[in-house]
Amino acid sequence: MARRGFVFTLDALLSVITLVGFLTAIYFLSSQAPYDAASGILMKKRAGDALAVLDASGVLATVNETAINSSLEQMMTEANGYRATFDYYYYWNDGFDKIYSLEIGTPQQASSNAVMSQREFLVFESSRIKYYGIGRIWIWEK
Amino acid sequence: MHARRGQSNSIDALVATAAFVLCLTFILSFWSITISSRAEMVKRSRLEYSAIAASDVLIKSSGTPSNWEDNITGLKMIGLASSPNVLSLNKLSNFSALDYSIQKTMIGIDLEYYFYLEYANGTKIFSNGNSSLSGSQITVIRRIALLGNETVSMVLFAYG
Repeated sequence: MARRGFVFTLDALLSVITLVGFLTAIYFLSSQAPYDAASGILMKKRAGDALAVLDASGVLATVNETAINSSLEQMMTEANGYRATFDYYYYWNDGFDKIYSLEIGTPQQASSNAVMSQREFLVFESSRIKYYGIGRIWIWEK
Repeated sequence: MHARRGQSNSIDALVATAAFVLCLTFILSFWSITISSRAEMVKRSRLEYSAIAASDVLIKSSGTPSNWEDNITGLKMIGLASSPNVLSLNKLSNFSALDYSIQKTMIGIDLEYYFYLEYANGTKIFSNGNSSLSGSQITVIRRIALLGNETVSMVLFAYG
């Protein structure tokens, strides 16, 4: 009888240990979830802001890699890495020909938490459209 | 035999009860900690999302009507931009003349807020709101815009 009781107690203890292990696993996994869920949205908005400011200030119209890079560096914080591409198209013969392609920032996306924003823009010359452009900025936390 | 068997069952029941109480205490404390940390996270997320929405209103929108700065009594919705990400100095000065409680209602922040504009070199050029920055929760939003021909950062604090 004593041995049978001992087996039941051991069985209950094993169940408790399993339950405690299970709850600890849940707690550990939930604590690993990203705490600041809004940071991704904010980074995407900052990338959109940067493209809008580059467009509104006329820097994109210069098609000058150094000028664009200099403006972008002013806008990005040290906590963020970034990569940007700017493609310029010319409308010719019922089609768009890519005539310039600029790449700025870190060539490779250095992090899996990178977010991207895209903006289409126009470059005018003498009140007429000179180029159609697409700008993309990837931004991530270092 | 009867006495020994009864004693053995009591010890077994005591151990089982102790294990059960231990287990129940652990579950209840675990549940309590989880609920309170989730509630804190929800509160923080609400603050962050309302701050992001407020920053959008301030730098993307020109407000309703779009020339509200000319007739402030007709103001229905606030906005400080003449076009998206291009701030208007005239709108900024008229906004700062509004009562703080009206400003909060207009930009949609329940708690306290404060924002300033600065150039890339860190020089502050404009500030508005309650700068006490006190409270258990604070979130900081940094956005980019143009003011005149200069790139400026808008740093917005929402807290409470």
